[in-house]
Amino acid sequence: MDRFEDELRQALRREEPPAGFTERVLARAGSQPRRSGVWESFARWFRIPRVRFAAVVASLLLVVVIQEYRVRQARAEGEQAKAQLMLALQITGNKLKVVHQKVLDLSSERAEAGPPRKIL
Amino acid sequence: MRKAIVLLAAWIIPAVAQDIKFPASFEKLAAKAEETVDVTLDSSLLQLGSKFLSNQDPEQAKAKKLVSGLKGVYVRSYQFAKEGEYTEEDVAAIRSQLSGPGWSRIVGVRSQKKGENADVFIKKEGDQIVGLTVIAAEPKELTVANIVGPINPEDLAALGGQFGLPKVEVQKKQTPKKETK
Repeated sequence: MDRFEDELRQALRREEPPAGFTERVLARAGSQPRRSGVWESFARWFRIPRVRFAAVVASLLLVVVIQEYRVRQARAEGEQAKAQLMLALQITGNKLKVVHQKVLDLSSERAEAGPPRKIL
Repeated sequence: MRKAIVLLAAWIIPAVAQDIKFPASFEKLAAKAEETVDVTLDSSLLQLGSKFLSNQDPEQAKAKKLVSGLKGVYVRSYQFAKEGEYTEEDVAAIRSQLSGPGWSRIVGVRSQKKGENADVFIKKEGDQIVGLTVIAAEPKELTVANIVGPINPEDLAALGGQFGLPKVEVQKKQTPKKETK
């Protein structure tokens, strides 16, 4: 038992680090590659000329698509406004025509009835 | 402060541009109607719509000319399945707005037999017509059309027959002729 305790004590004894241990650890830690951030890795992609070119083309394409969408939307709104305008003019015109016809009918009825008779 | 004035003006101007205000009861009429036409075209929409009117088509070209000076076109038309769906109060709510200054009724047709009533109102500023409202009330149909802006009777006359518009006889000022002996 004593022997076992002695061996254990020997194994777990406090041992001072060899000279220059701290310096060596710090030096190795400094030489390790630093973890890059998302933005940094993203920017690294743009250092490749083809990727840069593709990004410019994609941006231009996006602008063209947005512009085309806006033009189409404006055209659709314009066509809708035109259709509404034509409908409004048609309805107003038809109603004016009806009123006009009624006035003409009344005028002809009165003309057929002759001049107003004198009662006295 | 200036921003507030601009915002207030932007809110007021369209409200002023529309000569008549359709009463809330018209929304109930729309719910009852079999067919509804609701056209609200303010100045900007009119200009947008007129850009799409073709100059090649004579009808559209004339319409484009007519619309160029307009500030608004507002139409509500309801067609009902049966009679009595709208009341005289609904029509009176519109008619009462046309009794203000500037407005005058140029035509009023009443048919007791058929139950058909129609009125044409115009708004004048000086010698110029700056507004036109047509109210056509039939047993199963009610139509109110309001055109805001300068309407040249000659343009209307030019549109006679187009879109069903009747020919309007324009009475031109006669200049005394010099008698040649």
